[in-house]
Amino acid sequence: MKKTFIIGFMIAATTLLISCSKSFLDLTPISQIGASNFYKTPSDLLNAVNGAYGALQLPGQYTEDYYFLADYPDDDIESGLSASTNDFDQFERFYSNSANIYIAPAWTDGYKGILRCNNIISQAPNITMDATLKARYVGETKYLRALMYFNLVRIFGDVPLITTPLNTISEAYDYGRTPVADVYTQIVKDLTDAEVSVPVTYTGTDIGRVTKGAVQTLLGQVYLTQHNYNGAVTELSAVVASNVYKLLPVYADVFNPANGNNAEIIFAVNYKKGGIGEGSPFVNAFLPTGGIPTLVTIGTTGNRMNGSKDLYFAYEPGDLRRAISVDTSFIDGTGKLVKTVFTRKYLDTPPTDKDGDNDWYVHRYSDALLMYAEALNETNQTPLAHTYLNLVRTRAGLPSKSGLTQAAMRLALEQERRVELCFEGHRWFDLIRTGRAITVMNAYFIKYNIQLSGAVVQVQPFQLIQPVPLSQIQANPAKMTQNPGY
Amino acid sequence: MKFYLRHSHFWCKIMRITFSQILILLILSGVTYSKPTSAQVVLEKKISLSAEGRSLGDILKLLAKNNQVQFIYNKDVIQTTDKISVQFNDKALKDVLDLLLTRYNINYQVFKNKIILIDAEQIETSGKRINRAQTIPVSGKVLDEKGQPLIGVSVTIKGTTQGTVTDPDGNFKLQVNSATDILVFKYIGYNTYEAKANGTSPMLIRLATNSNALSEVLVVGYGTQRTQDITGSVGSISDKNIKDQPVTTIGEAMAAKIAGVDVQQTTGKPGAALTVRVRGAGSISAGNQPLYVVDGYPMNDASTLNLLSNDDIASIEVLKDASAAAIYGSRGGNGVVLITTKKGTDGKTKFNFNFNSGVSSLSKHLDMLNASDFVDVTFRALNTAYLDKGGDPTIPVASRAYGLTPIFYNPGQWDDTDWQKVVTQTAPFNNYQLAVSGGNNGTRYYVSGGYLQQEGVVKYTGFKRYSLRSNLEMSINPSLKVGLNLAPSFSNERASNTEGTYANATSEGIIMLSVLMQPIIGPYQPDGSYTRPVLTGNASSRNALALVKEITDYQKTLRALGNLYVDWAPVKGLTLRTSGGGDVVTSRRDYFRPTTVPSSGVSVANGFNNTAQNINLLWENTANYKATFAQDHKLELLAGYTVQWNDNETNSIVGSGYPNDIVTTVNAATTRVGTENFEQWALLSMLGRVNYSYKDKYLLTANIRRDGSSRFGANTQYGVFPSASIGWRLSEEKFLKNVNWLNDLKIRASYGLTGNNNISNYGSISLIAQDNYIFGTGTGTLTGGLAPSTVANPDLKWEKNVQTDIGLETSVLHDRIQFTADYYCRVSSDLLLNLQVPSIVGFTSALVNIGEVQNKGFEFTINSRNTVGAFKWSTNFNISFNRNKVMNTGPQGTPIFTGSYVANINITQVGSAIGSFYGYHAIGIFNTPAEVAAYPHFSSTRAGDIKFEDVNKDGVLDARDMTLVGNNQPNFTTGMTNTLQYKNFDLSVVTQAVSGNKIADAFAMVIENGTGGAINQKRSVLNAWQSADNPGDGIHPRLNSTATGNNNLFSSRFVEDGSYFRLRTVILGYTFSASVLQKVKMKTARFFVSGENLLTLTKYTGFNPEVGSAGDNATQPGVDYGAYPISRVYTVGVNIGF
Repeated sequence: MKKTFIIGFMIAATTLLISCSKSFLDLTPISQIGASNFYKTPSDLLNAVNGAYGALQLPGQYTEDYYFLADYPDDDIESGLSASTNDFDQFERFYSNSANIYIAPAWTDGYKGILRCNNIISQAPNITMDATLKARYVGETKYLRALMYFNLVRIFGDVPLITTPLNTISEAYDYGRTPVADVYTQIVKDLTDAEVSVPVTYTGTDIGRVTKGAVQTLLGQVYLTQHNYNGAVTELSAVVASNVYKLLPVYADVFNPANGNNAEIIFAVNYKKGGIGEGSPFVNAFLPTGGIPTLVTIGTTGNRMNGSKDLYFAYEPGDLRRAISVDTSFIDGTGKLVKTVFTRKYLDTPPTDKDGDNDWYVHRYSDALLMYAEALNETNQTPLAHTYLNLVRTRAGLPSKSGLTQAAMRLALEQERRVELCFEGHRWFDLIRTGRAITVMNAYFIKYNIQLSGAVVQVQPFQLIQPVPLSQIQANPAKMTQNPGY
Repeated sequence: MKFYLRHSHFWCKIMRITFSQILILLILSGVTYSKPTSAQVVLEKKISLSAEGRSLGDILKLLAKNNQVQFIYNKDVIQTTDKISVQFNDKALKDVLDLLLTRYNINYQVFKNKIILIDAEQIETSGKRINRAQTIPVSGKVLDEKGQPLIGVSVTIKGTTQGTVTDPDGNFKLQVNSATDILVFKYIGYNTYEAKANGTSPMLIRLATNSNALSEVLVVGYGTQRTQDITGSVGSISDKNIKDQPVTTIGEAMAAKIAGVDVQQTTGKPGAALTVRVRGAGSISAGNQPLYVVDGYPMNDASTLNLLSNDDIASIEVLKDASAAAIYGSRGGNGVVLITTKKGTDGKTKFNFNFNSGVSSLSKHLDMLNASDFVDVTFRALNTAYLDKGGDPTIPVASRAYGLTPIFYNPGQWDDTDWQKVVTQTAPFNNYQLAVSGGNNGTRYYVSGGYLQQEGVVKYTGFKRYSLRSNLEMSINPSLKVGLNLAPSFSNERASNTEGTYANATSEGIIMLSVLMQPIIGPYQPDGSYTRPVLTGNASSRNALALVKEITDYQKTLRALGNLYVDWAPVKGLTLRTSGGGDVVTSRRDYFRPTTVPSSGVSVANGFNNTAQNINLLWENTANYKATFAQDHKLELLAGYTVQWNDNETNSIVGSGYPNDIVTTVNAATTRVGTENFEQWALLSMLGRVNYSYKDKYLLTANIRRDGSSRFGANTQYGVFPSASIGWRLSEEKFLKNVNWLNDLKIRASYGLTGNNNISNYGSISLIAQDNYIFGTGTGTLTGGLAPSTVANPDLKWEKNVQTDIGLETSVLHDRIQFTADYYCRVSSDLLLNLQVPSIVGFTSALVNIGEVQNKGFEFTINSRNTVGAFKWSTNFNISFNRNKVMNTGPQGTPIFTGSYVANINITQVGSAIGSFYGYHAIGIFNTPAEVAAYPHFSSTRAGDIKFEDVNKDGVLDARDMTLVGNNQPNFTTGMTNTLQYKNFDLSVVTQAVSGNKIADAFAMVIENGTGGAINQKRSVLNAWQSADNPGDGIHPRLNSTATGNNNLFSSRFVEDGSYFRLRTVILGYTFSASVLQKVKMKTARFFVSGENLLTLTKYTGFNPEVGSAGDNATQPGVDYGAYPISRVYTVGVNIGF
């Protein structure tokens, strides 16, 4: 009896298990979503779009790499202080190589963001939802994709142009680098598409999404970079005419971390402190090592983005912006006076290390005004350009300029952008755009006798773009070529 | 059931050696026998007997008691544990015995009213019935090593079947044909002995015990097998090689013991798992740890094995080749370690108490700069940078703006601290264990409780373990058996962030810090608070002592491993087993870092609380059929069906913003962030095995397992893993049977497929993960977002291991020397690689089955008993030669670069060993500017900097000149255990040697980057280049706080020879003799002292040549980056049985 029971039980149970074995093995993730169940509903699409914005916060995008690659090479950052850490000193003194640890994330995180955008753009047509809202989502996404490609192309030159998600890994091996001009064509196309599908403004917790003004400002900047000055005038004049943005009366208020997405901000990468994984590292990263007890009391400080003496002296007497932007000394924790130029633009009181509220401003209104002035100047409307230059100067407590020639206006704008937008990732790309990078930087290196291996640093033309990351060449040596000179 | 034999070996041996004969007589005679009777009369005696469910031994006892006969036998003759029911009425004793004994292959011989049981295979005939042409009478006596008579020894004339057995006094008498005849003396558990019959009569023969009997039974997957029948490659360690070693982990017990099993003690952290590799590393990314199986239960996670007490282990078997491991299918690819715990045996209750206690201390102290040399080096380095940057050489050194704090100029303020001594200690440990075992009325039990308390060599760290075990087995009736194994344990570890990098906020490796902290400052300030290192830099705001002392980090782990089984034998030879069990591991980790710990800026408190729960359930059903056909054909069949399911949940709460240091739990934090992760896996398998042997001469084993796994892609959910092996025992052939000196010779060959399924649970699925963003004005509003985090691969599957093994086993000179040799070739293919893919797909890497790695090599083992008299000396020696070669790394053949601490110093590329070191080749130091100009160099290189080889000779030094600069693969590894015994003393010495492995000292590379005064340096930097006239040791470039010439890029100058010879274990024991112990009512007592890691001979300059900072990561072997140094341990212990 007992035996019969046992054997019967064993047979029954085994049969039962075999029969349900298929579902027994089909275990799906519990704490995460599998991709096959995603991109189905309007809410999925919204989450995906938010995730694409989230890509801007990747280390290789605006959280870390952007300031290394957009500001370190220029004369606003003092060489030498950070020289013991080779990887970012390489940008300051122009000896970067493809193995530099900050170069690879700029590439890989750029494409990580582009994949998110490509997924949204290719999946959106399959989702049934309100057409206007869907168009807005796709428009926001196209702006983000254009911004990511714009950064890649400015940093690396030719980059592979991927506009649809790759289905298999093996497809990736088919792509080589696309010429810069073709990448710009796609950027312009994306921005032109976005311009008609995103709203002029948002309300409430949607503020901070891509607006028409943001699209036009970026497109204006792209056109400036392409020397399509008429195009730039069209876009940037629309931004000014929209009356959506204004200069805050007090320069310091622009950088108050509690004042995110204020009226001057056209587009920003937003961060929020509080241990939710959304904080920005800028306050800790930029303050001098050892910390300044009066400014930051939490976390480690990184000694990054130290300003140069040249920048400090670039301010005209009476410029209200200098005290907000740079400082020359501080009292350290031991009460000792330390003399060094450092940036004050990103101050906050993070609850833990590298968890600040400071946003990264991609474009703000003064930037748009100065770019507009630049476009006007280049289209022989120099007198009108004075108006917008002086708007910015007046806010800074400086006298207006008048009667500048076209050439003098170029230099005046270069100077104004430098002091207005320092440490915001503009100057290096500005100098490249205007063709002045080599002249300005080489003069700077000579003036301050900044040396590498016993010789004064001099920028070579090939160094206006960075090397393609070694990891990318190693991953696909057949298609991925290195930039000349590296 | 044969298992019984194996684990009671130790006990049996004691009995045999000391008072076995007497004891058996005492037990079995029971009643006095009245008058001598002839054998014939005894056998015809009519017997009535009734018994139910008794063991054969018990029945013989009953027979002896009621019928005035006496049975005498060597305990090993009765191997069966069957429960027998008998009913005899008036039957002749002869018939009864035939009925009872022949089915178990037991023969008997009657001497008056004493009946001696003999293993039937040992003697084929009795001397009386043989006709002979001429006869010479021979007589003699057979004694054991202690001079006690051996009863029932078979004595045969060589080459014939004629013979006899020794009588109850050990005497024998027989007739031989000629004086040249050779007599063969055989007795279970003893070495066979041969002697010429023409010797002095009476002959006096002494037999020596055979400690390596071929009939030894080894545990194999889902069963046991006799050593002589095994055709796969199996290594084993018995309990006598585990006990008395002051080890806390299974891995330590295996180190240096088995050929082809490489155990690296890469860390001295208490309770940490060791790196165990069976026949090299075959997997690049999916892990190389073998599968651990405890009492038949395949473990989910090897890292929790330290929760089992070593004192409970009866044996460890390592299944090395595919034939042995294929029964574990998709998990057997890295070899299988079978751990068997002790069981109870029938008989009186035995108590066994173990206690050992000892101290451990740092086995090596790194030679760092003292305060004055440190300051000197700092000034030299800053001065170089000063001059490099165009500083004015005419300014006096003291006036140059180095940015140093005043303490550097004031020797009076220097503390001259040896930080290694500040944070380490001589750490005590204690281990107690009490075990009770025995059995009666069909129930056998082994229960034990243990307590281990171990402090770490790094102060304030430690490990406590409380363990219980209960192994019960009940025979309900002769065919039904129920067993329950239950092993709950609890451990509490005070951890510290001892290993790894010091350089960032979350990773403050104490070991590295203790080496590189500035010697000019002490741990405390005059006011009692902790010092902060002077100067600046990320590294320097840490105080190693504060980190270990003030941060509390407790990990408590509770484990319950249990298994219930029912064995049912419905017909003879067939055993059905169902077995269900669970392994539940729950752990909690509480971490709090108070404000008293210095950090950059103002110190803030933070903490976290992690909980984890892993539930693993297993249900196995097997059928085993064993039969012998036509005497010569032995067949064993196994079929089974198993289900295993695992559920893992982890939670973490991270707290910040603590108002003070008083309440340290996370509830006190003002900001708390919680996360949860919940994952599952399931495995569904069918398995089968055939063992067949013909005349014990030709052997065949075939295994198959079909595994279905939830981890693999939808297209590849099931895998089949077959294997086959054959063996030929040449020594059983006629042409070798008469070779005197050859006891056994077997050649075997195997071929098969096994797998490795160690990938993430949802690796085949593309996952969408949270990536939130902030919108809105002011400080913004958190808004949820989602983004793809992994790429899908529906074809993802197990890694394949195809292994061929050819082996030879022989035993010669009366089993005095046993030799095993194996050649193997293991090709691991379809390796799961997190392949670095073009990032344009949106991911930097993707998991694909592409790689291929080959391990091939030779293994040799020699066990020899060098002297067997009063002074016994035996040696176990093993040596392994493994060659590891990467065959394929993907469609592009792209090398895989790895390096978790220092970027890309390991390369895994086709044609070289996994994780070879890759960097520049340093060929010296440029002595003069002219030398620099004459040879390709980096743009910043100057005289005094490293001269790197222009490998491709293109006149330019760049990344294309990087090359292989060594690897961690040894030429050979060898282990030797020498055991000596004299009277009551025994001595065991374990040594280990590894040759030809290279080590990348990433640690040295990192610290040499910091010569500016922030961190200390190795003393060897004093030999740095200073000038053309004072070029130093030719290895260390000029000291420079702003290093130039890429001096500190990874290069051959950081690669060192890691060969070593290590005196691993020395144990000296004293066993009290039985006569002494009887007075204090003890059965056994042994006292021992031992030492671990007493001596290491190596040229390596780091802490430990068995290094592997990346743990089990096969692609980064031999990288030294602040691993916890191993300890030198002294232990005293006592083992008492009563």
